[in-house]
Amino acid sequence: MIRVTRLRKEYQSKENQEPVLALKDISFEIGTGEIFTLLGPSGCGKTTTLRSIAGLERPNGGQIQIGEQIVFDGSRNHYLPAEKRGLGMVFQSYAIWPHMTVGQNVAYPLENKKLPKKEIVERVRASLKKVGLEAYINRLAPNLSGGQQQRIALARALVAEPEVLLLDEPLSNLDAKLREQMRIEIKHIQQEFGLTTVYVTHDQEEALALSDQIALMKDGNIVELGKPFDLYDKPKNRFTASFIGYGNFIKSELVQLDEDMAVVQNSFGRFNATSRLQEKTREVDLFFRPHYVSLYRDKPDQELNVGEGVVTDLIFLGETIEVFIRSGEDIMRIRSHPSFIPHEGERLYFTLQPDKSFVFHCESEASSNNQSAEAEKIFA
Amino acid sequence: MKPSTSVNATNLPVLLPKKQWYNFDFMKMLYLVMFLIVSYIVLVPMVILLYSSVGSTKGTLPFEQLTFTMDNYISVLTNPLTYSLLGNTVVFTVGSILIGISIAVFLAWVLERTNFPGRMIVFSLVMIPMAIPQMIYAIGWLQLLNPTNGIINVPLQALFGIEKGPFDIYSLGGMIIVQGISMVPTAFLMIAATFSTLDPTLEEQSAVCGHGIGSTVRRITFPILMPALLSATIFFTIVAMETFEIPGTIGLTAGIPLLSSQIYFATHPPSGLPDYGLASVLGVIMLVFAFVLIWYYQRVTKNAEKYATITGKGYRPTRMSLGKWKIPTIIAVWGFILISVIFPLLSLIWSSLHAWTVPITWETIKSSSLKAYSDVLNMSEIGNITWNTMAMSIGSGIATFILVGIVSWMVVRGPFSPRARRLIDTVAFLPLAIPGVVIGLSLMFFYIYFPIPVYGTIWVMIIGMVTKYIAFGQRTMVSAQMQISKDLEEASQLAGAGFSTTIRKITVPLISPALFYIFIWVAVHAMRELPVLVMLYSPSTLVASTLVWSFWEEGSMAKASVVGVFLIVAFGLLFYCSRWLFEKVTNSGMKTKF
Repeated sequence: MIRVTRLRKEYQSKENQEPVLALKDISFEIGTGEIFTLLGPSGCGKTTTLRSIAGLERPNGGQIQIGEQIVFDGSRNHYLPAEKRGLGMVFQSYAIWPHMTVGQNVAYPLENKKLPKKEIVERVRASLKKVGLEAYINRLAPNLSGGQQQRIALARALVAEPEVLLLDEPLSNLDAKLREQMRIEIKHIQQEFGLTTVYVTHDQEEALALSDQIALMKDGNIVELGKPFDLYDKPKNRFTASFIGYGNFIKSELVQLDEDMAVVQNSFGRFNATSRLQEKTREVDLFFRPHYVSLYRDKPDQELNVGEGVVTDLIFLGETIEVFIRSGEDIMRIRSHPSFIPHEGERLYFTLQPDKSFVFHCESEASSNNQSAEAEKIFA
Repeated sequence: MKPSTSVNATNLPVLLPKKQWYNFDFMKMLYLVMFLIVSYIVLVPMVILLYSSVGSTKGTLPFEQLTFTMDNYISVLTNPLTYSLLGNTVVFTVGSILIGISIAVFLAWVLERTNFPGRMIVFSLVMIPMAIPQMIYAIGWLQLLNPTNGIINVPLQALFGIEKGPFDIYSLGGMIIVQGISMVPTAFLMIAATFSTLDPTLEEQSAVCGHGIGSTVRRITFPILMPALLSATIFFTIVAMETFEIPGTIGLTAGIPLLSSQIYFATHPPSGLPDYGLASVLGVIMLVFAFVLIWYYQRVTKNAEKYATITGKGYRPTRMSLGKWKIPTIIAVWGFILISVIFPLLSLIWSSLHAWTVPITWETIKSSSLKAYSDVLNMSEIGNITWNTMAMSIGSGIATFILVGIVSWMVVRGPFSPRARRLIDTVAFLPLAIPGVVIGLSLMFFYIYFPIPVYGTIWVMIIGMVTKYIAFGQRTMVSAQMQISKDLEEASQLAGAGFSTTIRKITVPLISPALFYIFIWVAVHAMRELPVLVMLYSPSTLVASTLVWSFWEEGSMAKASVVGVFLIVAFGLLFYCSRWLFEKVTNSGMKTKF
């Protein structure tokens, strides 16, 4: 279990300037054996959060608890350095020491524990076997490929049997095919050992595939926190909707708002959608995922939630086909099954599902202030 | 975390572990101590020099009287000789860097960017003069080109039936050529490094756009490398300005004084009293010039990283084809090696076999003798001098690498504010602006007067060497440490290693190639160093380079050459021994073997 409470971190960017807040007020809790992902664009504070948990960064305030042990408490000036925390970590660069062999790299955490030599050798062999690199034990580390270095880093992080594993963008330096393979491998190892894992990435696909929980971060705040499916399917926040997966944002006019349902009008038609508005504003955006749209050649027999437009482009992707539909100045993207192939210039009708469509404030209004207010609301 | 060590969250005692990565008190102490050491090394000479320029008069040391006077400045600045001195120095400096840098750029381009045949051999041959002390290099050239009986001049005299040899090394031109050529190896090393990091796709793009080799070099390669070239040029301007060996040997005989040689002769006049006041004022003038250059150098190098040329991905150095220029280039490169390496070396050996300068004829070959060798080896002080030389150069190397190893770590990784790190880095960089003779002069003043019993020992020489080479070592070490990813140290911490274990098992082994490089560089340079040591040596602390100097002063050319030959051999030994030692040391840290 890891509990982070009101974590704050400042950086002095330049002298005589106000310090920059890298982490504004971060709180979350990770259950034992969970994979928890910190997701966000670069500079959002995800790596700073991870490094604070690791003990490589000393926050300015807040509290971090790992298991039963409080490793950082700003109010009491208590700080346990990284080497006392007993965690395993894989760095983005793998940080394989180039002056040591593969075996020496993996043996290093055990040497620091002053274990008997025989036990060290056995455990290093076992650990390397797990990642399939036993044969490379006497190789010099820099002569290995990126994927192999990645496995060594993993073996080294796990050899001392930590209860917590920290992963800092571990897959970002691998090519696409290897990345997928390593993703599965990491998940297997994590489950096998029941490791509480903190995973940092900017790749939303990776986050969706691996995580039990995702904390989406922006500008030093957690914007939204939840299960991958919920973040994808029921985004509470405009930033979540735009950062995770692809979606259409269509400029619309708010017609009616009761509780959490809204009716909006745009150039395609009039739609009923779930409201994510904090207040009534005339101009809003309607958001929906491309594959929650049903296409028709004939106008469906219903008043609300029907739109129409002209097909401008078709992109065939194999399993799906992307259809671009225009009405007036607005263009939207739809994913459709290849069993239904429209042609360019054809007029089509479509329907949306109110629980899969959301109304957000427009970008200019939904400033970062609003989003942090939103984040606070989530935690309240 | 094991349950046994766990602490209840609600009544947690404030537990600060004994050994901490950022143990602030220890780190603050370390910073203070290192800052004091660096300041002592760097600031003392400058303060003393300024003090002595207003405090000493002809025949008195700065602390023998406590009156202040501007007389020294007035007499120097009103003397027309001063201006011819400055004029000579400027011409010498500019001329020699023009020669040195352009040859170095040409070689660097040919060896790093083109398909020149036999690059590796040429590379090592070009580097040889680095192992030859400049003083000895100068002697080699004197033997070749002195106008009356130089080895090259005599046959040409006979050939053309002229009275005087066509080449006169005893001229400002001769000095410029020798100095320029002698700077090529170091300048080449510096410039070749920047050439080798140039992303070749930048050049290939130009070729694709239809530009030939000449146009590409002119319009792409050089503009990109300009900041790096400019900073190298400024650096060597300082080197050429402060050099003592060639002005002190060739320049003295030719009657062409430069700033550096004049400072020496003001304190070591052939007759009469030393004029410390005059020497100090000239030293201040030199210091001012050097500071202006360093200031400019700092400015230029700040922008040098503007053109980041290395990127990790897909970097594969490809080379240009020389095409029709292949034969002329080969002739130029090997011609240079012949002139800069082979001729002076042979000439040195030749002169060690003859009591005075003789042309190469059948008779003189027959009259070659090893008498000078036996004279030198039978000197009563020879054991002492060998010991002094070894102790001084190895001691300087060790002292420098320990000092810059710690200071550069503090600058790159230390848990200090950016301002504190920059401060100590700047102070450590300042000595680059203090010319060697000035370092020697002020250390001489300081340790004669203050009751620290190092004057007349090799310790004062080691202090002088550390002062001279700390800036170089600091620069090298800082860039070496920056290349080592912080992750490597952090990964060690995560693996449960404390501060000292991480330093010992990760940081030191990783930077040990750079440490070795600095050690060997400083030791070699200390062994051949003259400008600082010529001010500091005493009869009991003769070292090889000052021995060459005193042989030269008394006119024993053959003996000076013999010591030169010994020195070159010693460099080779020193290099291979320390390399072997370092490899042994750095490989011994790993405990577990599989």
